[in-house]
Amino acid sequence: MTDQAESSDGRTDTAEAAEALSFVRGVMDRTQQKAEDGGGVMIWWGVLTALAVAATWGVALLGWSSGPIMWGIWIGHNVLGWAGTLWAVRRSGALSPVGRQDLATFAVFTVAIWCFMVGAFGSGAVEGWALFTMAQLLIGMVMAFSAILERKASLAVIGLVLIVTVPVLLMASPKWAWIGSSVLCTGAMLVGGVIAALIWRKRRAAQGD
Amino acid sequence: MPRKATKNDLDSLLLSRVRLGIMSALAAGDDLDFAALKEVIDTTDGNLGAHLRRLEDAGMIRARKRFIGRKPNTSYRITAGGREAFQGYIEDLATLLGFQAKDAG
Repeated sequence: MTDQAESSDGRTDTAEAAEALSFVRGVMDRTQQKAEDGGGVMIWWGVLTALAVAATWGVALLGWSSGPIMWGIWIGHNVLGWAGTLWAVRRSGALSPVGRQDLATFAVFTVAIWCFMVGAFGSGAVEGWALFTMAQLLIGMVMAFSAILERKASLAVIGLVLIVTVPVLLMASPKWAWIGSSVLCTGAMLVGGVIAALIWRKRRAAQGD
Repeated sequence: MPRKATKNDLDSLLLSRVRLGIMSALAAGDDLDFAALKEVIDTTDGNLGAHLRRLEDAGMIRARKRFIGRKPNTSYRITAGGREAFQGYIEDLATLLGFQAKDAG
């Protein structure tokens, strides 16, 4: 890019103003798209969730399911997830105000789930088998409402699927609630990540990058 | 030492497309490093560096130098004065177009 558009007398006529506004909008759109590339981060969280769920199942099957081991798995899941998220943000070199808000919302949502899990687990108000299903409800609500606000139909559908399957799983047997919610939560994050990454790639391709 | 940006400063500075692009990107991107700006603006290192320096000298943007791992990294943010002046510039352009459209109608 060069400074060919520099005007000698400093005056801007209508055509130049329209062209300048169009240029500003284009740069802002490209910046927003670059800063909101969340696909990789969501896939990372999905993979970690899958591994943590598998580890939870593994230790339960082996009979090692003590509190410290379970908490260790899920605290490790969160620490690795956030380390990867922060690394991705720093590597991209960009974070828009919208992206920053999304990340803040995600952080609040993660803390809320943890508070809920600790409260529910500690008080015994929720049966152990229903914990994943309760987490599924929270994940579904956050995904659906944020996707509706951002007008991302495909992600909104995933969130709604998570919400409407909650009563079905709670009415089914504890075994199916445990298995179904584990699979749905992990699958939703993985599929959501893939969709976000595909949307981002499509936008990049449209820009000719 | 950077001085406070004024509307006239920005009006003259933004006649350059590269500087207008930098201000637009920083207004949208909040905090961008050199590599990210280069990708969004699509220009050379030397050209981008010179325009960034000029905007920084005018107090419209602020640079932050740090190390990520062992690599030096410089990121840029728009200042409050720079953002105000940039918004004023955009409003002026929109107003100009609005008046022209009304006149034409």
